Amino acid sequence: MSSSSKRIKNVSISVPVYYGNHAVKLAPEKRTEKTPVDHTHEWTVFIKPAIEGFDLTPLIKKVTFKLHETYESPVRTVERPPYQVTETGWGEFEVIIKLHFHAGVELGINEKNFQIFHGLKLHPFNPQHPPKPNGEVHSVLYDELVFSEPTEKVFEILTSKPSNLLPYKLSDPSKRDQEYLRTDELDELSKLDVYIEQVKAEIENQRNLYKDLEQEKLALLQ
Amino acid sequence: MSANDILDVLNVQRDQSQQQPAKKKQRVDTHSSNASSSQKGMARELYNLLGPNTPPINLSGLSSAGAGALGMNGSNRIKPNARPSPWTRMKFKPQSQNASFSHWMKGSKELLESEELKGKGYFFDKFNTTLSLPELVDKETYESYLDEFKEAEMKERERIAIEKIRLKERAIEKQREKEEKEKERLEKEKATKQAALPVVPKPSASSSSESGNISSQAISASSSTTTASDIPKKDIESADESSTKTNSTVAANPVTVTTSSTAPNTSPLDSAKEAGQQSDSKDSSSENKGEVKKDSTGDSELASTKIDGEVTTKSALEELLELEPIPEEFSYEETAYLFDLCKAFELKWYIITDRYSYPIKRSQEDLKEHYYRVCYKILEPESNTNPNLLESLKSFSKTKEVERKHYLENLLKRTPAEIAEEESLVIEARRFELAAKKMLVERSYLLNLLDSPQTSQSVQQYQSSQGLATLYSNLMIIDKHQKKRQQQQLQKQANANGSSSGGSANNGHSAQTDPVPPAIPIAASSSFKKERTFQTHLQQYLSGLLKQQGVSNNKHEPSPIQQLLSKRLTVKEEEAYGLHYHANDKIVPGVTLRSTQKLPGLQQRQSVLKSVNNLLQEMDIPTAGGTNWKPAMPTRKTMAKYDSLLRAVVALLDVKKGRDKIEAEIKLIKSQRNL
Repeated sequence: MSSSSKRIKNVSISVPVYYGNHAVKLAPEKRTEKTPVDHTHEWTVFIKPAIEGFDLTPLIKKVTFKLHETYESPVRTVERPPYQVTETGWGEFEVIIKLHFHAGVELGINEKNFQIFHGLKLHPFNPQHPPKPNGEVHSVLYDELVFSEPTEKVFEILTSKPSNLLPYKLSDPSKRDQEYLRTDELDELSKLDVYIEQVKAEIENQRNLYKDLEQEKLALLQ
Repeated sequence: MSANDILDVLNVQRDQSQQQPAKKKQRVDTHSSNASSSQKGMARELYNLLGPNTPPINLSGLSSAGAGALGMNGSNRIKPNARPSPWTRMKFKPQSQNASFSHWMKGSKELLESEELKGKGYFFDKFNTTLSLPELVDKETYESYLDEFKEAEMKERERIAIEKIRLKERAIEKQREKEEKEKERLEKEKATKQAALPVVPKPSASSSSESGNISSQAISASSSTTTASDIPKKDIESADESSTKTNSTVAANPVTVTTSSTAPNTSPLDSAKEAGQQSDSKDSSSENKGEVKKDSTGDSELASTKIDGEVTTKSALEELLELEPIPEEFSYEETAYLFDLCKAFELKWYIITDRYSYPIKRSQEDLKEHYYRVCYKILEPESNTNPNLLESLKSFSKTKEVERKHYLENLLKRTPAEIAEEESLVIEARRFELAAKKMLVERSYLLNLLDSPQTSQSVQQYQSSQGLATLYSNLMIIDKHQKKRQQQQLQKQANANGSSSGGSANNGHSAQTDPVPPAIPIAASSSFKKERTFQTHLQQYLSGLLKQQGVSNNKHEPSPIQQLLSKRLTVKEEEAYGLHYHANDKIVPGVTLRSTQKLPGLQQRQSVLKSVNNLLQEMDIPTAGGTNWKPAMPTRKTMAKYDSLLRAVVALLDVKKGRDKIEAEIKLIKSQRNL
């Protein structure tokens, strides 16, 4: 076992990624002869690092997208970025995005392949984002790949560049539903703080009630 | 010939007193008067030859006509039964000369004669050697040698003079800074004095400086009465050659001849005293002692050399050269005399010096120098001369010899008090050395103690009993590492020593007592601590990790951890890298999605989670309608918050449950009371 495959204990590294799909209504001029008549949407399912230009290729050997079984050759393999599959279809289903890491002890990468499930969205689903006039639907999810106790090699790859520099501004105002910002995280945090406060207040409230009841009970027992 | 033989000749017996104390007393009583009187002349001398190391002897009474009593069994002999060995008076030829000598030899006459017939040579023949000394050359060649000597001498003297002037100049500069005002006054003084200087003080100057000047390479020239008239001429010639001719040289020379012959061997100290009034000699003596004396006249002269620039420097040089002792040269006759003496006394210099009775007095060094350099000249052109001999002839330096003898004299002249002081000083110095060594060792030991294992993590994790166990094991590991490293170092040292000293037995010992202190452990060095304060928890942990891994990684390229550490990130920057250090929580190696991470808050039964969701909805916390609501943006922070929210809700559920329970109890009690 080479030293680079030694795991660094108690440390984790996270890489933010976007995964999800874009969908548009299938324009008539885009239809080809092969396109089934009942297909109404064109969609692209993808996974990519949240930071433009962050290179995952040293880690990821390939990405397979497992589509619905009704598709011809439902498992699509993409070996280099952009990791995405564009298809047409009419229905929503769950796409299994599977990350294949470079295997091999000698490389020092020793991670199991990893699946992400994504429910394909073709129709507007989020009440916060009003449906767009052109019928575009974006279901972009933010998540982080967490490398717990990475090997030294992985550590080296992932620390070669800061990967978590989320922007504070949208690259395009129209992409509100496609990008996540640092401010979003802060919003989320403050929201959660509020909830926690709320719950804690409730706990206090309930505790006081409990005490009162206890005294009542004692009084009754005497 | 042994000591016993001598004793035998003298009819002396070894003292057996140790074995027979009673007898000894007797003997002493009976013969004391006799013995003391019998040790006379030759006997005493031979007795002394026995030296202090021979065991105590007892002289038996021997009449003054002792030789005649040889071989007789005197009634007073201690060992009457011991047969005396026969001694025979034999003739021998000491050298090839025709003189005939006799000496006493051990053994009977017949035996010795038969041995002689056998052709056994004279016993001391091996000492019958003659030194192969070079013969003196004829007078003309000698004169040419002499010229060469003179030339070399002049050069040497010039060099020394220049050095002296430089020294003076330096001294002047120093003094000038100190006492500029005085200088000015002295300059005026000097102006008047300089005029008188070359003429008046010359005689005493030359004499005193000749005898006193140890550093000067000058060799006194001969001034025998026969050649005295030639010398001034020669000196002028040599002066011409070196372009240092002045009138005063001529004037001074006759004086030099007379004075130097009368007082050549005064000691340096005396000469310094003598020359108290003399500026030049004072200068030279002060230079010899390596210090600058405050001497008004000297100052004035020095000042003049400095101020008047090059011209005066030159004149000063000339002056100095003049004042140098003009060596009286060896005439051909004197050299021949010297060679004769050398041959006669076989280069035994003390005898030569002692017997040297030429009109000019020479020191032993003078004689040696002259003899050696002439010999060198004679032997040099010969092809078959031993180069080592030439080398040693050439390397004789009179100055050094004189110095050596001077030092030796001083060394021998030390008083017992001085010797004791010196010894005590040496002991003191040795003690200091030892103390320093001890201190170094102690210091390194202390520093080793300071090299405690680093707390790379927060202390919290060690507060549980389990944490303590891990801490203990960690410490053991680090300790082992250290010991291993130390052992390796020791071994290396031992190996190095072993190869150099051929595997002597005390390798380990020498490695331990190495006076070079061990390297300061990294952890104990102050720079390390400073560095640590700037490290985040993660970095502290990582650097601790690196230390545990030991040196193996460092040999190759720096490990990724080191690369990262070298960036010296702040906490925020670490976040940007997505790095996090999990001090307390356990993590499972592998890749996960943040959103699907196993949060402690989610480790509940499904029913509990359901009620949690219900509760959240009750409290108007948007759960996006689903049962497994999660932050839309699952970052580490949001997930942590989410986790704490979940736990808070679970706690709330518990409290609610308790309240429900107590409510039910109250109801029950109430219903019971009412009944």
